[in-house]
Amino acid sequence: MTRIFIEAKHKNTTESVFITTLLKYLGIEASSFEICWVDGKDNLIKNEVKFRENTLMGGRNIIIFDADTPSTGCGYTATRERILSTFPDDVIIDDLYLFPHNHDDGIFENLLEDLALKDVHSKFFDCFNDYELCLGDKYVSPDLKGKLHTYMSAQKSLSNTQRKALGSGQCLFDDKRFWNFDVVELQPLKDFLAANVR
Amino acid sequence: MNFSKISIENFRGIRTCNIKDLGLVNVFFGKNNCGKSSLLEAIFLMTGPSNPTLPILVNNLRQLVSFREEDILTDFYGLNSENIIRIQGDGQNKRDVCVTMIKSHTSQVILDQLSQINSEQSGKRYGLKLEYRVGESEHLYHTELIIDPKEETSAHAKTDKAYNETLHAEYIPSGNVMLHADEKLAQIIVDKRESEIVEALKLVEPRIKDIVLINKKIMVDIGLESRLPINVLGDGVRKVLSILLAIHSAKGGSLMIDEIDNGLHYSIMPALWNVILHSCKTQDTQLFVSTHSADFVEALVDVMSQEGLADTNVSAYKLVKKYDDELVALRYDKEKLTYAINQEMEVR
Repeated sequence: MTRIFIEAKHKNTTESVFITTLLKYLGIEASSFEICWVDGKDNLIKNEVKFRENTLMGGRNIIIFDADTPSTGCGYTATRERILSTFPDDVIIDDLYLFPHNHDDGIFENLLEDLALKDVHSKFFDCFNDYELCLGDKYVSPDLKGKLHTYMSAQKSLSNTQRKALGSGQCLFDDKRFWNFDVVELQPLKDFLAANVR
Repeated sequence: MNFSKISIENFRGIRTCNIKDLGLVNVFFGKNNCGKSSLLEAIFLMTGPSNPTLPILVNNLRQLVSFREEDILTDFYGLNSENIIRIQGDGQNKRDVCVTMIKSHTSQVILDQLSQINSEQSGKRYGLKLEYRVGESEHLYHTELIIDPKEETSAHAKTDKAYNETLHAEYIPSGNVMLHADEKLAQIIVDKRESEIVEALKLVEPRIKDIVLINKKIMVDIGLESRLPINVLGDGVRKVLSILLAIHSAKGGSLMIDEIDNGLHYSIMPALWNVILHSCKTQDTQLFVSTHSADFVEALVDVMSQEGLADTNVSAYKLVKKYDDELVALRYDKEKLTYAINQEMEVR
């Protein structure tokens, strides 16, 4: 059993739904993993018992967090070092992946943007970019999370139920009209999960 | 506090177990069959090695009501009597207890009773030997229980007259909290300590003015024209009272309660914890409880943040049974327990 510790607060988050969908896409049995919602990097230390327990039971512990950026005080290298020094030496972190691609700065949404069908929905992305340019620096702009949420909520083909569910992270990641799981940018995460969840 | 550290070897399904940083109140949770009850039974056994019938009593708690050899063997890891049971406790009441099986070997059984019968009969006998050290002394005490299969309902106990047990311990098995409640209350009334019970009970039922025992029936005054049997106040109050009586009855000693939440509605849990934490502090009773209920642990977290209780020495452990039958107790500090509950982590 692999415990996957993610930064999200609970299961009804885009990040959690995405990882669950990707694991299913990769054909990984639901019984072989358990997602643990950490609710922010600062709370990782409070999961010490969960790490120890799983190791005792012969399981693996992996972490999937945001690398963040130097502008927010972190970045790939600093975040990696910080996470790996969280616990006492006898607590085992089997592997660590940092969004977006496990080698650069950024967040989960940067990876999500790679997966969005920008060619098919070029009008949406062109218009949203114009909108953000128009806002200038008086408002939050660019707003990547807002853009991706609006990308989905602007889809006319969504039913009311599906649109409401977007707020619970249900972004229809398994729908090829909106997301492409075959992009090269997703390969590092696919490899990471395939190697660690079994 | 009696014990700060406990280690167990070869008891029931536990091959080995080491628990550190015990508090005055200790809560154990974990999956079914992980060894919660065995852990409490082992602690109970350690508290009373001068009583050679205690291993039988511990079996009785599991409805193994017999002196049969195969039932006694269930005390030993792997049902193998060569796995000598050893239970050690460190702290104010330091002790080291070993339990071995005496099996059909007349040469090993040196009891007055055996010398009076022929070899054929004595060869069929079996029993238990408890050897123990208490405190810092190196003196080895021992007690024995010898069983003749022909006598299904009796056994011969030999106690060590050099030792006088000073530690009082009680065990409340799962679903059996009202065990001897009237006797415990009677003793508390004799000791003129019933006002302490009333004060603690007021935390759950503020109308209670006094508590008396009439013809073995527990009656309370809640301000009506006559006293009422405690039973009419409902299961919650009854359960709280029985736990309260046990804590007071084990004053200065140890109390084990298996599946404390059994049959308890969640609404009464904060009040029960309030009573437990207050009473264990005032009585200096070290408590060991097991639970399956996340609600019960959540109630503990809430109560621990209340004024006057925040400094109570509480330890919470998740029990994990490894594949090699080592029982590992993973300790949560208050902050980690609060977080775990808030994250709705499984505490089963």
